[in-house]
Amino acid sequence: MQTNYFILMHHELIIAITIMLLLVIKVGSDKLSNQLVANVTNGLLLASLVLGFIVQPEGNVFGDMFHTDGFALLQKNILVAGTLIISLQASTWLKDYEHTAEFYILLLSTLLGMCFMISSRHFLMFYLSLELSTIPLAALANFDLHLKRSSEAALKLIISSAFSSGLMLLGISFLYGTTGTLSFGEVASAIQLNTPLQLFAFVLIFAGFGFKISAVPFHLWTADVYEGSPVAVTSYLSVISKGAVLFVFITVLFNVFALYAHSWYYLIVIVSLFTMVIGNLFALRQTNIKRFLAFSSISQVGFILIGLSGGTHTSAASVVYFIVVYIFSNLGAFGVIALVQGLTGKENINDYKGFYLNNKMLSWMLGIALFSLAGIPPVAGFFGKFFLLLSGAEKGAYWLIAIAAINMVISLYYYLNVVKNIFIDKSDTSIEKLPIAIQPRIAMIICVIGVVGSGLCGGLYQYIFDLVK
Amino acid sequence: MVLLDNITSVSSSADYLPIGIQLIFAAGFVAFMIAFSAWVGPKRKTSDKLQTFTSGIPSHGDARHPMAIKYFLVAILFVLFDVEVIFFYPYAVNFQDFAADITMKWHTFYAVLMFVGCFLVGFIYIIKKGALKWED
Amino acid sequence: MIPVLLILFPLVSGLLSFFIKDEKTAKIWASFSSLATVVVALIAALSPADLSFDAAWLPTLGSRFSLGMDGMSKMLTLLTAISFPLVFFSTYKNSYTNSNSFYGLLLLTQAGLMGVFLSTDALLFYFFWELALIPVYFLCSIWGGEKRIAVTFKFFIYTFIGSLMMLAGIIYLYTQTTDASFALKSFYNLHLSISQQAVGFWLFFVAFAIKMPIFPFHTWQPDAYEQSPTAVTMILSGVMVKMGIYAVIRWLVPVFPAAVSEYGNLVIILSVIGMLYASLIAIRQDDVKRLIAYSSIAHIGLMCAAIFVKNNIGLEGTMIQMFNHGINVIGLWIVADAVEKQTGTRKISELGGLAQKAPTLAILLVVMALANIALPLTNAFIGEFLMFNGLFQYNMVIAAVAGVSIILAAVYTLNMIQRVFYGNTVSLTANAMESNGYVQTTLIILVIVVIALGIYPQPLLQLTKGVLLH
Repeated sequence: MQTNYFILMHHELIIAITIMLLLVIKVGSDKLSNQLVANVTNGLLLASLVLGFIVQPEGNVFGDMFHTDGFALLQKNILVAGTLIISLQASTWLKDYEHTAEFYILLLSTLLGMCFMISSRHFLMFYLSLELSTIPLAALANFDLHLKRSSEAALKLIISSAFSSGLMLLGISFLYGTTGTLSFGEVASAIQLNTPLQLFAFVLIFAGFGFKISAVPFHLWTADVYEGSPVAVTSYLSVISKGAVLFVFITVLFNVFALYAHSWYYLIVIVSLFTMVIGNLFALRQTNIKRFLAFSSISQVGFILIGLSGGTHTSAASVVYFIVVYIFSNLGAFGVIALVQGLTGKENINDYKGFYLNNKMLSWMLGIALFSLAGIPPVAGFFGKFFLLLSGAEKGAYWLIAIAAINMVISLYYYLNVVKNIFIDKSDTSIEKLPIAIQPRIAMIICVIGVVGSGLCGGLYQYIFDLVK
Repeated sequence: MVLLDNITSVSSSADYLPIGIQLIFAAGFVAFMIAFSAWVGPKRKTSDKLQTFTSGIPSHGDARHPMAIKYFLVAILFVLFDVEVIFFYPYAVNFQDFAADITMKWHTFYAVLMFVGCFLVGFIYIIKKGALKWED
Repeated sequence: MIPVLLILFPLVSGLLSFFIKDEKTAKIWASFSSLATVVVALIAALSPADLSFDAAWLPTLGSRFSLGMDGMSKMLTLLTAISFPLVFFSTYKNSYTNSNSFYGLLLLTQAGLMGVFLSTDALLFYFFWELALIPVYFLCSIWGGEKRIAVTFKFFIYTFIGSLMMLAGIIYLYTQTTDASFALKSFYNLHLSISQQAVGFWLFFVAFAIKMPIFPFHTWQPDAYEQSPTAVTMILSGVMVKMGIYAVIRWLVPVFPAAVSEYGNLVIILSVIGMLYASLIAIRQDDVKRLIAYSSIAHIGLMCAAIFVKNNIGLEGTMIQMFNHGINVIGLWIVADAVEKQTGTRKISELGGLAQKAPTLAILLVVMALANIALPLTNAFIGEFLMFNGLFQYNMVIAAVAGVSIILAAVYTLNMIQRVFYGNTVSLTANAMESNGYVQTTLIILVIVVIALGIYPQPLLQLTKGVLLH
């Protein structure tokens, strides 16, 4: 019984131990090298990742509040892998930073919250872990301590997430009021059709989720927060934290509110339409590359919601698959941006003119990542989008597919615009050749392999699909 | 289930009618009183009357005075460590039962020790950071 | 295994080409690897049986990595295989910055083209369809002419819209299949109502029509041909437009038979309008490249019309014409490029009397030009004859109207020859010389192919015969 806890929660345990270790190290000595801190963290994250693939327990603990199985483990592995990549990419930025240990402590705290969130089978547990995963993020957003816009980002993030948490709590309490329980399984069986209060509770919970994944109309915080935060945090926000919330969203939609499938289908379809269109239209006009990626990530969420609307195993698998692809491609793009911003401070799209001239490898990385985000074969982004559209088409909403296709064209326009800046335009003030340290290089190679490989290797989707079942 | 029955039996829209009427009445009453008093009451404005007036002491300065961040820091740390103490209560209440149980005795003790250990490290951390140092 | 090799060869050599530093090595590497592909393609074309390859790819979706090679595929893969070494060889003296990337991207295009002509799975087909497009985007926009960026953007967005419509069509058909499969066979076995077919037909047709291009989807084409580097233009017009025609024959006509009967007439009329329109515009062109581009639209229009007449003669004509047009148009581009290299201009009005300075080039051009207007004894004659025959059987009026374009083709082609090569020399052509040996050798090879196939077209007819029976 006792050891069972440890095996079931090995992700969470390793992360918690890492946090404590970092804290002890920090308390022990002020003058320790940042490299050491980063290496220890990366090593432990890698260990957790490897362990996650080897040890695959299944079961419930804490009075069925915490549940884990192959699917949850896969999701945690995805998040840990993403965090590892971000940590590798951030090393250039963190090398001379005085609060490296704190950065990792906060980062891992949110990761811990996300792991608990994925495994939670109880709304109370879910809410607690959600808060654990968002509050440190606000602190992280403020990590460029001397920048005013960084503080602004942090404040916007904390206020909007507090608001969304409030909405979600209200929804959860309505749910408790009508069903008398908070456990996912019991709520699912206690829910009845045509209960306005339960429907209202669902809408509130949906709105809470909408905030976290920045679906339109809950997206307004996104761009400012993304722009103001350090790049590592931006990439974490746009990829990992969205992914984690979407993972839970799948469970909540498909298991807890399965009875309301006919209602949330339309809700999701409409929200996804607006999210795609508005995200795209705003992305068209951006000049700052971080804001640009922020809006493009909003429109990507729109596509994910199309996949979710299917409501079957296929759509769950397609969403998870897309998130894997999305992590690789978005982190690939952010990795390059982090390097450029860290070394030159430039973050306008115009600054990337003639980038290919001096930085061939970085250009190809960014180019491949953008093509993947645009959903063009042969890179994995195409397969991700294709699976999403396919599962969206299962309910016969072909017009939705058509609109999504139009949006893909619009998005292609602005992705190509960046690609054009990098590869084709010439500039007198193009960025010099940037030195790439070993850690970002590793991260980049992982991303390239991921972007190219996860599409061509059909086995990955099969693997996810089998786990969903 | 009783709760569920109550809720479902209440939640028909006709049952909310009295509440709705009461809401309208309350809001209307407030609006009426404010408007009525503003309309009926005499208005004589002098500079003395418009002054902020507290306990007979003349006001000075701006109320939005910047406060030292230390207040907030200490306050938030106080709340944090205060909450920590709450978690000792269940342990203290059940202490005797745990002590009697041979297997649980040490397990619970280790658990609490771990908990306290975590907080202790945090405490040392904030002291080292100088968060509790009042004077610069 | 041979079909896989056809894709794998250019793919691997293309990727490796990026790592070559030296320009000369890159050229030699590209030439040799493309020659190796020719050998494989020849082996495939000469083997009597249909070849195929099948492997699991995305089992949950029912999509397989399945390649099939019947006569039409054999012919088009052979065309793809042949045209690349010809292009490399004829542009051997041209110098490109970052030539390793240039040749790498070209070879990747070849891999995509091969995949399109080989795949018998809709998802795989779409995959290669896009794979062929992306390198072209980079090729045109990095190495193209002055207005390349806007033009390439237009080209890319155009074709991408088409592709996405096709993707929507594929998803639609997939959800209609009984065995949840992307295989070509399952698509053939669909039983769709007329209205369902109409939706699918237009989704697919627009994609293919943009690629071919068919009037009124053609506006990207002359600009793209003009602005691309010549090597890329040759591939675009010689091989890439065949993707659209091939796709219509393989993926459109058999899948939506009822819709083809319903809308075939409309498509034929559009094609014929396009033929006349393009021919008339070609007459007014002053730029050699744009002239060839419009002439290409006219030829493609005829091929498209001949598919939709739904008789075997027209279809056979289209199939062999795909090969012949590829050969001819590459030859024309080589000449156009040689003229530009010698004189520094492509404007017909600024040229003249080139035949005195470069008689060999002039002779070779005349042969290619005669093939372009489908004179008997050139390869294009057989194809055009069959196509017009098919069109005639379908509707005499339409055939007669389309026949006008033959006359127009003679007008603009001969006019171009006369003004560029004959007459008195002008200042620009005064110092012109014969083009280099590489260009001449390539052209001679092409001329031999043109005349040989014009006299003895049996191999092509034999190759495509099997397709007709289905």
